[in-house]
Amino acid sequence: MEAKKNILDYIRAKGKVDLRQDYDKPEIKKTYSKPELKQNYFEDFAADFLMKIKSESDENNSQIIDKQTNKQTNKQTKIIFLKPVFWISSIAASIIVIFGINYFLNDNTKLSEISESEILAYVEENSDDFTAEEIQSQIEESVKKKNFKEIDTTKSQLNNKKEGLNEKSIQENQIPQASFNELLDSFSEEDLYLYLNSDEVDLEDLEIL
Amino acid sequence: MEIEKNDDFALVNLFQQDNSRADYVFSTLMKRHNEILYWHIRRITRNHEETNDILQNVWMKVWRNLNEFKQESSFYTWIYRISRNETINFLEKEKKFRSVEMDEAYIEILAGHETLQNFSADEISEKLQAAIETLPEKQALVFQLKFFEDLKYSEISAKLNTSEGALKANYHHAVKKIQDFLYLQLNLFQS
Repeated sequence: MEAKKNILDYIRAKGKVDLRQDYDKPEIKKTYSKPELKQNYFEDFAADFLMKIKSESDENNSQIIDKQTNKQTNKQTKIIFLKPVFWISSIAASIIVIFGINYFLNDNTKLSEISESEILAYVEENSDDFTAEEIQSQIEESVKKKNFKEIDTTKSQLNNKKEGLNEKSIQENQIPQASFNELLDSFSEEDLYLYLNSDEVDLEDLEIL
Repeated sequence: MEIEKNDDFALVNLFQQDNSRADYVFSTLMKRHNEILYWHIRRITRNHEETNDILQNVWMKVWRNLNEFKQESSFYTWIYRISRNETINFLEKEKKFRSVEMDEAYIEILAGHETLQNFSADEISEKLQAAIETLPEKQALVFQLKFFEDLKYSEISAKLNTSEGALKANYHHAVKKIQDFLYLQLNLFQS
């Protein structure tokens, strides 16, 4: 059967590549029947490729250097943070700031209040507007008001306390009528008779009752 | 240290150990494999510009991952795998919008085979490429190096770090599978 013949015997590759490694001996190169390539294509290709990877690796190296520099900067920052001097000084600074703020606020509050010297200065400046009697009467009135208020509050406190005590004593001395009756009902005549005849009962006590 | 330019293993080791010579070592590796890798890709894309782009991507991946390459396979097997995946991914992405001028077929059909005479070189070339795609990686690689690049077994052995006997077996299996594939495909196509 013809098809069973070795088909590959009837198929031939067009060109052959010279694969010998002696590139320095061009006379042993074969003539190609393959598509023609630019002269020195393979040499140029290799040169271009190596240039490309070199520039790429240079870029990579510069990126690595950048990364390392960043790392070093980070390291330095970390070292500064790790030093106790940093923490101590930062704490001291924050304390100073807090005190400063407090002092400033207090100072401002004092300004908002009227100091004794200021009142005196004011009175001195405007002393013509006030007569001695007026001032005295004002003082007396204010003193009275103050005292009255104090007395009033003390009185009312005392009253409240007294009322509280009275209520308490009344509550303590009161015996509920219902429970007393129940107690009497629970005694039989015989029990009472025995009780009266016993030595424990004092006739005087009974009289008082 | 003297660099053994024909020893991928030594070059890769040097690349991984001596960063200062990485550029030089890499350029040596490129010089050794760039051309053959280019034609591997171009046979699939059949377009120079696309091949150029894919080849750039392939070498970029090699450059970025060479330090992690453990040399469990040969260096060439590794870069061939990368180029194959990169080419398939590229074509998959470009499939819908692809409008490039295609190269002529990379094969010639010789007289004497009746079935083959009914097909154009382009058609056979496509079928052949599809057949190669079905092969295991090693077989595909050996087949391409032998069939398209016409390398001697000794040369392939040096490239792939595999004994000549194993390469012959790989090639034999590859030819058998491709033959069956083409036979099936061409007959189906005819019917």
